[in-house]
Amino acid sequence: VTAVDNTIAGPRRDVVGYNGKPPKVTWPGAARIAISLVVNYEEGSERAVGDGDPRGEQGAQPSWPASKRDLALESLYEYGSRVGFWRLLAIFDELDVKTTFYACAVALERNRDAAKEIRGRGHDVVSHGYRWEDVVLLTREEERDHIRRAIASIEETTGERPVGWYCRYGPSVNTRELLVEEGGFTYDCDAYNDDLPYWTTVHGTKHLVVPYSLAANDIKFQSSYGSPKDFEDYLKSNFDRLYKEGETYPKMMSIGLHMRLAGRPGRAQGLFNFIEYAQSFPGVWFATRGEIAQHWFDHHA
Amino acid sequence: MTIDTPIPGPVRDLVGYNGNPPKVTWPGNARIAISLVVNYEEGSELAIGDGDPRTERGYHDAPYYPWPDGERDLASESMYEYGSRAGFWRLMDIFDELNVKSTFYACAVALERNRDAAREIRARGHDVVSHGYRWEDVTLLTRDEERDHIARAIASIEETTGARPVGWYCRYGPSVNTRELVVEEGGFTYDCDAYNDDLPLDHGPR
Repeated sequence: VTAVDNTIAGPRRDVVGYNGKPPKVTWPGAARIAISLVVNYEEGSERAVGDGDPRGEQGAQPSWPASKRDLALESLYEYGSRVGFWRLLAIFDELDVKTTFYACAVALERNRDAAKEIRGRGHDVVSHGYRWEDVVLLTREEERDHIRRAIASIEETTGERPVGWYCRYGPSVNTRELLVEEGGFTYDCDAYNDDLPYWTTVHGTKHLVVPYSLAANDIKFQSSYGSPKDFEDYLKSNFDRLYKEGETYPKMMSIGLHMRLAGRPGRAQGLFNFIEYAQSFPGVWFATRGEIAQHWFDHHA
Repeated sequence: MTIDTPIPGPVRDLVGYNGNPPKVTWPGNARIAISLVVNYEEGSELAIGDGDPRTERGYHDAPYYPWPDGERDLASESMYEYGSRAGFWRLMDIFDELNVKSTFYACAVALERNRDAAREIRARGHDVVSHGYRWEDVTLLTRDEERDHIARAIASIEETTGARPVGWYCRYGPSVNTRELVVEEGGFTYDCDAYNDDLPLDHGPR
């Protein structure tokens, strides 16, 4: 028995996965590594007193009363959609890389020019929920409703319906089932447990998972990363290891970015340095998650 | 494009310059304007000795260390004091040596407790923005209390530094009333209570 048998709700755990024998992947151009840059577009959909939430996101001041608007924190988020977004887009254009946006529907509704610009410049959109919310706090019916609202909204703001899904932090026990029931999704990213995409089964239906990472992720500026160099060094080290492994078994590297964090100039420069570094090697494929999922459908179905 | 909320306080603007910032020509065609800001807070932080229920215990070099709430934390007080006693003069020397002018976000009560330093700021060519009457969370104040603290801060900083402040910056963040009160009070040409852009912006008449 390699999977955990249990009777509680939600997907069965699989603590074995490829069991030390990952598939030998041939990425396009025989690349040794597929790099997926992900921009989390959340700003404007986070918890906020002004949107009827009982409390806003946790700010820097523990003493701040949770029921009062935290204008400083609102402002720190706004930097992402106002400035960080455009800086990151300019960097991607300059270095000619395509990325994936994990986009919260309400956030895009509140910045429609930006929403149009994402696909307009060749980037990919994965639904990051109706709002940036903990779906585990929703009932199954509420979550289904939010999924539907997210699909309709993102289709309207970006011009195309999303075919990938990624929750805030983690899915509920219902999320993956609801996505499969809803249909139209070719993959989700609600996993942190592998270096390669993998298939799973939801009530008999084959479903693709493209795992994500909170390690190569600028969110760690809130905890362990201090200087932009910490972020840059981690990304380079992550790349070096996977590039070496990729000589025989090519892997994928997910990099998580947030416009309010990596969009600040000092950190954006660290990201720029990393992308240039990776581009200095042969056999490096910067891919959207849609492209990676498609590759899996085409070659590993 | 902005969020309309029926609740008090400024309307959020998640769009701003919308990817088209103005083309700024700084003096001397500079490519970047660098604003060094020194927060002058030491002496106005929460302190048992000032009637507060607890002493400020963070935002200095020591890691968190458990301490009973009602007791003075002399170590923490002391770490704050380093700022006004030693750090202030070191930074002033560096600015002089490298010939740069900076802005002091100054808490009124902190300057009252170090009057020579207060005079030195403008005397050496630096700028003063009011950082509040004390280094306090204004969201805990009523609207009238906050108005009163603003008026007291203006009078005090004018007295200690020789000129009234025309800029405002709260501790961490403003209340929903701050910007309105600053405009109602008059005499302020700007505030710094935002973290959402790389350039100043005009909120227009209110």
